[in-house]
Amino acid sequence: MNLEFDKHDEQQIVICRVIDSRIDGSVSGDLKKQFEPHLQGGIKRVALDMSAVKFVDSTGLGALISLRKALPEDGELAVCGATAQVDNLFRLTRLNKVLLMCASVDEAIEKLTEIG
Amino acid sequence: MTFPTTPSTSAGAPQAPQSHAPAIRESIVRYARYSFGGTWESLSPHDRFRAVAMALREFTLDVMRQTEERYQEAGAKRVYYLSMEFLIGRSLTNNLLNLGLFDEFDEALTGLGSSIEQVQAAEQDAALGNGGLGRLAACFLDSLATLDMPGYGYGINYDYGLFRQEIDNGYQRERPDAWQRRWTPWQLERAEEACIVPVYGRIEHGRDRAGAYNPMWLDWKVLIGIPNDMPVVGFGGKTVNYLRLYSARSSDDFDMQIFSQGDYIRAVEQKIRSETISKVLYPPDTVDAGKELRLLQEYFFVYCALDDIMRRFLDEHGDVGAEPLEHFAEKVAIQLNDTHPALAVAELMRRFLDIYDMSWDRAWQITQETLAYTNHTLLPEALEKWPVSLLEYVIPRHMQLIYEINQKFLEKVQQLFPGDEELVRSVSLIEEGEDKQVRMANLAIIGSHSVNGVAALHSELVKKDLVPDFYRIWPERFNNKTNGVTQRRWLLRANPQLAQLVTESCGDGWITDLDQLRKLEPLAKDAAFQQRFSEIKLDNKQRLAATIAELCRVKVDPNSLFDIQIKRIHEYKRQLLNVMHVIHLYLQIVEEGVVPEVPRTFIFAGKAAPVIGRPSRSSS
Repeated sequence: MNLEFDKHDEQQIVICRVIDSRIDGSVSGDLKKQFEPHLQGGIKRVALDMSAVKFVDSTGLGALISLRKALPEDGELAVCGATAQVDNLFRLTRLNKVLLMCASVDEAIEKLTEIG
Repeated sequence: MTFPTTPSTSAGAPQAPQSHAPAIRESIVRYARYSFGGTWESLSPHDRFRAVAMALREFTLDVMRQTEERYQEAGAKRVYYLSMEFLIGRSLTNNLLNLGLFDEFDEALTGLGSSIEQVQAAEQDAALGNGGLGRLAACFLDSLATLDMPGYGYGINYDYGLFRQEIDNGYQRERPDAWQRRWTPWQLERAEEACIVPVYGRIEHGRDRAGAYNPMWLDWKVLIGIPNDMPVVGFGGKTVNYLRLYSARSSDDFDMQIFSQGDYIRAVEQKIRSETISKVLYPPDTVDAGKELRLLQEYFFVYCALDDIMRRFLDEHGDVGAEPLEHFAEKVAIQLNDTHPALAVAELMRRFLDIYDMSWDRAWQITQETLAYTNHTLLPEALEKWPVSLLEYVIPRHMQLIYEINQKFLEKVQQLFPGDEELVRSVSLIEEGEDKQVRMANLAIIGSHSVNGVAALHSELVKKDLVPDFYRIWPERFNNKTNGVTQRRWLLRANPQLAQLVTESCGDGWITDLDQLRKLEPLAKDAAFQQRFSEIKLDNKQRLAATIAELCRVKVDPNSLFDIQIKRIHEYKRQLLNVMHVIHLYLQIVEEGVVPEVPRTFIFAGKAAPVIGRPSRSSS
């Protein structure tokens, strides 16, 4: 799975951009693996830029739930820039009520900063 | 090719100022050459039909686009008819008559050495229904278009329609009706408007960010619904609506994943299973044979329809105020043809709640204001029920919502009728027992603002016998809508000579307003009218007698009274009772010497529901 990591040092937010156009069973295992070093480093807040993603199957959504569960309870996983189709899939599963849904990475950083 | 916008019609409609037959003929020949790679003379009968249909389709699609523009400009409220069945039949001559192009196409085909009758004989019969329920749906669509109303049908694009009947040694044999084996020009695939349908999976009971209960629907599989539009032409050529039928496809995305893991066989199996959903129309009385597939069919087309209806609503009215969905019921009416689409109640609620974050009470109010339900059966045992366990397996989120709808509804019933436990038990969505069942009629009644029967007596019996407890709760919700058929197809098209006589006698207003047939009443005793009427009837009977002789090798007397019962053959249709009447009349003649006023010929026809494991004798 192609992920690009960046870090907003000031606010201790990990920004991750998904390069693949789909998150499904074939790549979802890799997602958590690539986050492992960051999780071990004690990150609490993640902004996941999904603007390039066109489809997420139920396994992919399951991987996002696992990622959220791997973060501390007071942490946050923000999903940024989901297309209408992907946003619908989040709403279908009601995952949009669990994750922080943001229009852009900038909005995610702003909200995650506010939450502290 | 551009056609006139106020075209001529065969029986009684205005005549076009000039014939467009030469242009039509040219168009047909062009399709023969460039779509089928031959000359008109060299084409098979079916390709000839398709060349003619494609020439006609040009005009149909032009009017369909104009119609849509008109509706959008008016911001019109749209009516959606959800039905598992649409018994469309053949469309060529019906479309020609309604568009007023019958005479001109006939002239063009005569010029090609053919005729409409010859060409239409090669048209496949779109038998996407079992009987009255499906034909009612098709007739409603015709009438909606004729009345220039924005009315659309939603259903399933079955690969196999109602079986073809063959009689073998006195027994009915069912043969598959692969009506779509060859591409039909009447359908337009709209792959770009495909719908992703989630199915199966499980509910994970979690918490949302605020700590409130948040059930999550996870691990679902995906089906793809591909819409195919069949134009529905209104009489007069002003309005063309459409019937949107969904074909099930496997998800390429999903399959590619299995393919990429190298499991070719599993991928193919998954594809076959998915596409099975729109494979076959269930004949009556056979639903038990494949319950899960039937449930999947019902859910699949309801989900696709509501996805499409909501998308169109938001495209058109998404900018109306801060909460456009507040106005949903002002712009959308959805009629449920029997309980087969009753899952629309749960699916509409799911969309309002889960997708659009609406409050429960508001979502419920809009759902009820949007939906209406037509009841077709008085037999309690024929009312649809689905095992709770099956619904939980196939659509777990919907089952959860059905429980919640039921709980809130029963609380209200208990408030209104304290202590009446029998009432609560009777109107509950859940039938308790070892294998709990969801009562789909109860779901449809609870989720609708209107419940109708299809005949005055039937509607009375719905109130008094079938669901009296619901009538007690909501007497204002129950009403009657007597079934009818479109006179465009069943008189203008089916009996052109009689149509001509009626038009000559009282004008052509009857084609769109059947009450005008009352103008014939003064002619009932008119000798000249009676004479013409009798001649037309005899001529039609002679043609029927010839068909009977050809198909059944039975000679019947066209001068006898034809006593005809043509409908699905079933115990409750009472064909046996009719036969006993025939025997009674016969015995009166041979044993009691009664001389009948006129000789009678009794004619029965129909398809019997296939009986699993043995052929149907009653149809012989």
